[in-house]
Amino acid sequence: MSTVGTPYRGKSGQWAFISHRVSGFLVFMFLLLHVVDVSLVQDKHLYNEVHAVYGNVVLRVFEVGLLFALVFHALNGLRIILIDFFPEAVRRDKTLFAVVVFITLAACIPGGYVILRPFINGHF
Amino acid sequence: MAVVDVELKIKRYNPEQDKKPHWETYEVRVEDTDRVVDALHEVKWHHDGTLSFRRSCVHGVCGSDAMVINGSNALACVLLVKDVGTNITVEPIRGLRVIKDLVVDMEPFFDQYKSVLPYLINSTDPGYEERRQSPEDRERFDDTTKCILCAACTTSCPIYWGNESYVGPAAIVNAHRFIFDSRDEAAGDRLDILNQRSGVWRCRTAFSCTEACPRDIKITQAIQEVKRAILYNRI
Repeated sequence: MSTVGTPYRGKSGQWAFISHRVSGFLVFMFLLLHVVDVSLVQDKHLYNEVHAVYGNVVLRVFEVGLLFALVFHALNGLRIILIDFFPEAVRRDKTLFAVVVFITLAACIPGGYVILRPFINGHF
Repeated sequence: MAVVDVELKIKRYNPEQDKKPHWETYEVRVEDTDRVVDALHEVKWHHDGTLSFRRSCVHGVCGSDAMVINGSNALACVLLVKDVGTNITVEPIRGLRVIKDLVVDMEPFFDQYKSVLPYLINSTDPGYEERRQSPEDRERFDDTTKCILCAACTTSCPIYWGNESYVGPAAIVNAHRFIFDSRDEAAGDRLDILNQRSGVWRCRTAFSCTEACPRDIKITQAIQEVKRAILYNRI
């Protein structure tokens, strides 16, 4: 075991906190990339070539990750707003977190399938 | 009740000898209904007298022996061996400077506690009578009267680990105890203090404090009540 220490074993609230930051960072990084790729619209040819790159399998998998991060971050943000303004939500934060995780999975698994379908079916 | 052999892994640090903390493992025999602090006593009294840790009442009231036990904050004198298993790791609480082994410097924590004016402020003289209060008014802050200042909440907070200027959950709990006390007159002062950069707005509702509190105080709820009192300017 290292001398640094063990990870703190928090409960769902801590994981919501960490996931919120990680997903927020990922979404922000994508946003920077997105600003660059959209700004290429001045040159139609270059724009199309760069966007064709998004069609490759590595970036499609990245987009699935982005979908999970985006949906989770948005829903957990709503959870935090509820916790900030409604006393009842503070008492039920674990239930709310479970709802956030459930909706994220329910929306992103089919969504991820749609994004990766060309590669799963072999028609790309 | 049964006798069990416990493997106790303790994070040791002696600033006079060690550059960095290191782990040491001790085998001790205790009853499964013993508390973790009994296992620590077994080490200190029979295996290695140089082990340092704080404890005073040893009954969960004085708040001296908060530690990271198997990865999360707890009082060593409350947690039973049978509830944590026979492989126990013990570390000092985080976010405060380690003085030796499991003993940390609590001064910053107490300074933060003192900064929120944690005492009754009322300029009127009640004469020879008590300051009376209805049961409903007393109930308003009942939960936050239970704090024993063990620092388990504050040192479980991921924000506090990264930002030592944050007053931390314990200070806010003790501010809450007086802010919502109908006999007190300085709620506005406390809300001003907690409305600063180091105050309640650093809380990101990770709920670690609520999970860590050995007195089961609903800490996040108390912090949110203080936030809303500032936001709506209403107690």
